[in-house]
Formats: sequence, structure tokens, C-alpha cells
Amino acid sequence: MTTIKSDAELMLEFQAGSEAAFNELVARYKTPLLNFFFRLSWDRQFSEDCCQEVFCRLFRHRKDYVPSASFATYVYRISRNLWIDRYRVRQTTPAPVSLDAEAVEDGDSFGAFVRAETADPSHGVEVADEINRVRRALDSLPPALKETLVLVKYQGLKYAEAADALGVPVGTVRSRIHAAIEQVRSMLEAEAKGVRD
Amino acid sequence: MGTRDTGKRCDEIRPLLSDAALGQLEGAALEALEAHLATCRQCARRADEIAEALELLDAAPSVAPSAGFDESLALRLRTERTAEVRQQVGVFALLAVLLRRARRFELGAAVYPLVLMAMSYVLWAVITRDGGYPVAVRDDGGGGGRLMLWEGRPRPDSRSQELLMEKLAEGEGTVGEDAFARSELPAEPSDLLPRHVVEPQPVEPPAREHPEPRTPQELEKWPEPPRQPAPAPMLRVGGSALAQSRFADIRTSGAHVHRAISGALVWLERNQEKDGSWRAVDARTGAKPAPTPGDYSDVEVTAAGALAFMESGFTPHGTGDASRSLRRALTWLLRQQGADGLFAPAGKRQIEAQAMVCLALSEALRLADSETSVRRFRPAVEQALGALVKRQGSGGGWGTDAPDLTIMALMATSAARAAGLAVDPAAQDSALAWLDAYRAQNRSPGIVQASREPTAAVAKGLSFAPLGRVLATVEAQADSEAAAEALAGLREAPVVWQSGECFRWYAATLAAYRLNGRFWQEWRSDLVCQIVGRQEGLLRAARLPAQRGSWEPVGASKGAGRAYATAAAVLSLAASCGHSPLYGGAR
Repeated sequence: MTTIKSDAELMLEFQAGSEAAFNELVARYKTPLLNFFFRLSWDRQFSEDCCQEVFCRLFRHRKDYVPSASFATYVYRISRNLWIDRYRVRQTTPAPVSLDAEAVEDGDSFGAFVRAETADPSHGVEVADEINRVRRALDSLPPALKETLVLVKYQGLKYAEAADALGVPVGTVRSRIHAAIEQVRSMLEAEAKGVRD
Repeated sequence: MGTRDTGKRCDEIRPLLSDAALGQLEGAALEALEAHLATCRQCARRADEIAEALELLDAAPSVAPSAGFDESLALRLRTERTAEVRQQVGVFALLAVLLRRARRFELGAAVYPLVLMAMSYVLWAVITRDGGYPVAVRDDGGGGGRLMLWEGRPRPDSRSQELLMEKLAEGEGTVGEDAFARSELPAEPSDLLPRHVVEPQPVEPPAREHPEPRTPQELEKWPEPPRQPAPAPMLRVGGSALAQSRFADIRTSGAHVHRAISGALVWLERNQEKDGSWRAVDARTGAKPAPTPGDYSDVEVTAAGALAFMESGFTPHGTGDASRSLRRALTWLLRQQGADGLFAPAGKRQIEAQAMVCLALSEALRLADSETSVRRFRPAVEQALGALVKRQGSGGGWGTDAPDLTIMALMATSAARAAGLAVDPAAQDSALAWLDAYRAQNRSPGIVQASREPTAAVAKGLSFAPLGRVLATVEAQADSEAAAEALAGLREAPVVWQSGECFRWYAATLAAYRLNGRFWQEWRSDLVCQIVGRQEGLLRAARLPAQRGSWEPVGASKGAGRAYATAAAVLSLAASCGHSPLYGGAR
């Protein structure tokens, strides 16, 4: 019977020089990390870049890893710090300009992404609306609430793990989650009220 | 349980509703919550609302890693490993050298290890420090300044290069000492000389305006960064009189074109192979394409790269890094010429490569500033041109399908003539006649209606063919029938960047520039939007930092690789500057 190694075990093996262990970690985390950055930025190419940078940092600082907390916490801490750095750069860099409005490239346009992800054209409009609502809901949250919600809701971290990754107390994570969900709920309520009116 | 008791319990229960919905609650706390919801309508309603909100959030799309993700990650990790190994090897080598030399000194036995350790530490710190930062020159007074790449500095590491790209994009810098090498600057004080040297900030990132938040309170107060104003144009013309006039043309094309060309040349210089070539790498696989007919060759890509530097205003006889890069490329090209005058092996877009090399070497010959340079380039160009003309078909064209190859060859012969070589006019005349025959033949209704599939290619060929007459001669033909046909062709079938037909872009832009007038303004505007808008990292976020300044090969040019796509983009952008040998550009 094959024993599945834990993430921490794989990381320790990688510290000892096992590239196979690192490849296994990459295989396990590349999609979750990619989606972590994607839900924060909605930019696929940017997200892939960030995801690769996280693995590069893992590689670079592999000697510094100490298995005192869960590996997921460790990875998301790196990811979150990277996101803060990149977020600052994105805010101060001129926004990517699509000078050719007709040319849509994969990952450059959210609309293109929606079209690409919609398998059945007959449901395309509904799916696009729904996805746009989600995006509006998430983008309306302040950065701190949004990243906390993404970690807990989408990446599946427990409150304690999210607190460790964010470097905040568990109580702060709870209050942020409550505030985020309340805000989304209020948005839905306002939309429903607007439809009725 | 009483109302008062229920209300109090509701205040305790409500904060747990989100926790339960997210699966963060378990055991006794979850049981208590469920028991309360069974009896309290208000809390149950609130729980439903929270569930609805979470259900909405469930619809957030997810993505899978793209096809090239693993490969590009492997590339980045390889770079990391190489850097690590170099550090370790460097340290060991130095220790070994120091140990040998320390034995010469008459010191006590206990002192040797201490001295060695101290010296090793110092030298390790020196080796692993960041390299010198690149220098760019800006003029504030409307006079001189030029792009000079890393003049007199150690070659910067990748982080410095990234910062250079960011600075080029943002136009930042500080006034510093006059720090660039002298040899590429005008010797005469009367020449325009930039008084201010703009140097990007050193490699260390600038201090953050707001330190990274470390407490929840700091994070809650994390301010929105202010929007930066649009960066001012950065580079001006400077250096020798020729460089001034040549770069001024690029400058007048617009700051964004200016910046795009600068960024592209930086990327090309940085990604040049050690032997001076640029590789044709298949963008799809990241590997060198197998030698099959129709593939791009390193020769064609290197010739395009060299031409891109020259079209942008650099000359082989300069001493800056850009000129050095150009010289290395030309030297590599000269080494590839066979005894038969050909440059690329048979079947690998051989004639296309031959024509591109003729263009590049003819321009290098035209820019030669000494007898030595002339003697260096002239025989090679003569032999190359001879080999090209020898492969002209009996009907006058090169190749039999689209007119592209014939137009490339025509441009090569015109460039050679502009460089002072004697070109048999019969070769050019027969090529033009071939183009006329191609147009006449393919306009025949019988052929057009034969099948749908070839029609698109034929239509493109029909629109492209008239450019031959416009590009083959230097004299103005704005009123000629050929010019009118070319104009109509360009209007009917504008080249789309996504098609990857890089050479068509270049040739069509040259032709549109010749035709001038209002159409040129429209063409140029479309050109700038399509090309500049797709450059990695300047107006759009780069996929990888190392790709900033380049263009992704698309469509037909995927087999040619990023270097070719970048060189072709520069050629198209710089084509408006009139340096092209096809117009007898200024010496």
C-alpha cells in the first residue's frame, strides 16, 4: 500500500535534496496557488507569474523551512507576502491598456475568460452574469477582507491557519470573515431591492 | 426557552452562523447552533441569507495552469540553480587562491585562518553584490541625450535589468554625475551634449512609502497608493550628428514608440547568445525546431535582429553596448556564409534568410565609416547577392506561391544598390514583371472560383504584390498607378498582428511610409496601437519579468521565436523613421 507523504515530509525531503519531492509539492499546490492569485487579481497571466514566483521562493529559501506549522500555512504566508508586493506594483504601474479593443487574448479579458469557460452557449449569458456578480462582490471588499475570505472560503484554510498565514490573531480572521460575508449579503439584498423597485 | 433568553442566545449564535456555513464549527458548538436554528426563525432566516451569499461566492471561476506553465517554471528554477552553483564555485575558487597566496607571508600559524576567513568574506561579499546599474541619458533642455546601454559599468544582473525596464517605462531617474563612456559621444563641444545624466536608482528597491503592515490595525489602515501621472518621454537624441538625426526620427514618432523600441533593444541585447546570434526557438515547445523545410533559421532571426538595431539608429562602429551587440551579430552572420555565398542550409527558409541577410549586411556596408569596414562587408554582400540572384526563377520570381519571397528579394537588391553595389537591373525588372503576372493571373475569375480555401491566401497575395513596385525603387511614385494599387491593397487587407506575418508588417509599413499622405497617418496609428499595445511589460503586464520589452511570437511567427517577433516589431515601428536603405537614408 502506497503511503501518501504529507507536505511537510516532502518539504523536508526536498531540503535533503530530493527534486522529486519538490515536483510533488508543485503538482499539489500549483492549481490552488494559481487560483488564490486569480481570485485576488482576475488576471490569469499575472497569477501564473505569481504562482511560479512562490515556487521559486520556496526553492530559494528551502534551507529556512522549519516544520513548526502546517506547510499550507507556510506556502500561503509566502503567497500573501508576494501578493502584497505585487499589489503595490500593480497599483503604481499604469494599468494594462488594450489599445486594440477588438483583439481579445486569453487571460487578458475577463469577458474572454467567461466566454472560454462557458461550455454551453445557451447558458453563456447566465453564467457570465453570475460570474460578474461574484467578481463585483469580491472586488467590493477591502483588500484585507478579500484576501482573508479567499484563504478561508476558497483555499479551505481553517481560521487558525489563515491567522498564521496572515500574521493576525484568530479573532481578527473571524471578524473579517463575518464582515466580508455581511457585505456580500448586503449587496445581494440591495440588488434584490433594486429589482423589486 | 423565553423570548428574552432566545434574544440573548441569538446575539451569541449569530456570529457563529458564518463559521458554521464555512465549515469552521464542529462538535458541541455546532450542535448547539443547529438546535437553536430549529427554534428561532430569525436566525434561521439569517442563516439562509448567509448560505445564499456563500452560494453566490461558489460561482467564482477557477482556472487551471496553462499548457506552458510547467515548462516556464522549470526554466525559472534552472536559473535559480545556476545562480546558486555559480556562487558556490566562486567562493571555493577564491578560497583556494587565497590559501596559496597566504602561504607566502611570514605570519604566525594562528593568524592564517583568520586572515583567510576575513579575506574570503570580503571577496564573497564583492562577488555576490548586485552588479552595476544601467545608465540611460535624458536631456531636459531639448538638446541631446541618447540611449546608452550600461556604458562602462559591470553587466547588471537580472534584477538591475528589470529595474531598467521599469525605469524606461516610467521615465524615472535622478540627476547624477556625468557617468557614461566618452567614445560614443561627440568629441566636439559644439555638438549637442546632454548636461544631465539620468541614472536609475540602484538595485536596492526604494524604501516603501508605507512599510509592510505587521498588525491588523496597520493593515486596516493600509492606504490606497496614489495614481502616478503619465510618465514623461524619456529618451532624446544625442551623440554623433548621425545618431542625433537618426534617433530624432524615432523620437518624432511618438514617446510611446520611442519607449517601445528602447525596451525591445534592451531585451534583444540581454537575450543575445554568447556567439552573437539570436536563436530561432519554437515558441510552442521552447526548443530549437527540428531542421525541416519551412522552419526559421538562426541566420534569419539574427539578421532581423541586426537590422532592428540599425533601423533604430545604431551603427556597427559605435562603442556602446548596443553597437557592440550589433557588431557581434554581424560578425556571427559573416561567419555563417558558405563558399557558395549562401547563409542558411537548404530547405530552412533558405531564400528568406538569404534576403534578410542581404538587407542587414547591405545596411552595414552603407553605414561603414572606414575602408576596413567596407572591405569587411562588401565581398560578403556581393557574394550573398550573387547567390540570391542565381536562385531567381526563370519567370523572374523567387518561389512560386505567394509574392512575399519575391518582394523580400526585391528589397534586398534595392538595399544592395543603395549600399553602392552594382545590381543587374534585369533581375529587378524581371521580378517586377513576375509580380505583375501574378496579379493578372490570380485575378482571373476561373482561379478565384476554383476553391474557397486558397482564396484567402491569394487575396492576401494580391494585396501584397503591388508593394513590390513601391519598394523596389527609391524615387517618389506617389502618383503612379503602382502606388494607387498598393494603397488599395493595403486598405483592403490590413495586416493583423495576430497573424504573425512579421515581414509583411515591415514591408507594408515601409510602403505605406513611401506613399505618405493621410493613409500613412492612419496606418501608423493602427500600427502603433497593434504593436506597442502588445509589448510585454510596458503597456501590458509581462507574462514573465524576463520577457519584459519583447513580443510574444504569434501566428505564423511562432516557429521563429520571441527574438524574431521582437526584431520584427522594432523594424515595423522604426520603419517610419526613414533610415531604411530603401530610401537611401542619411549617412
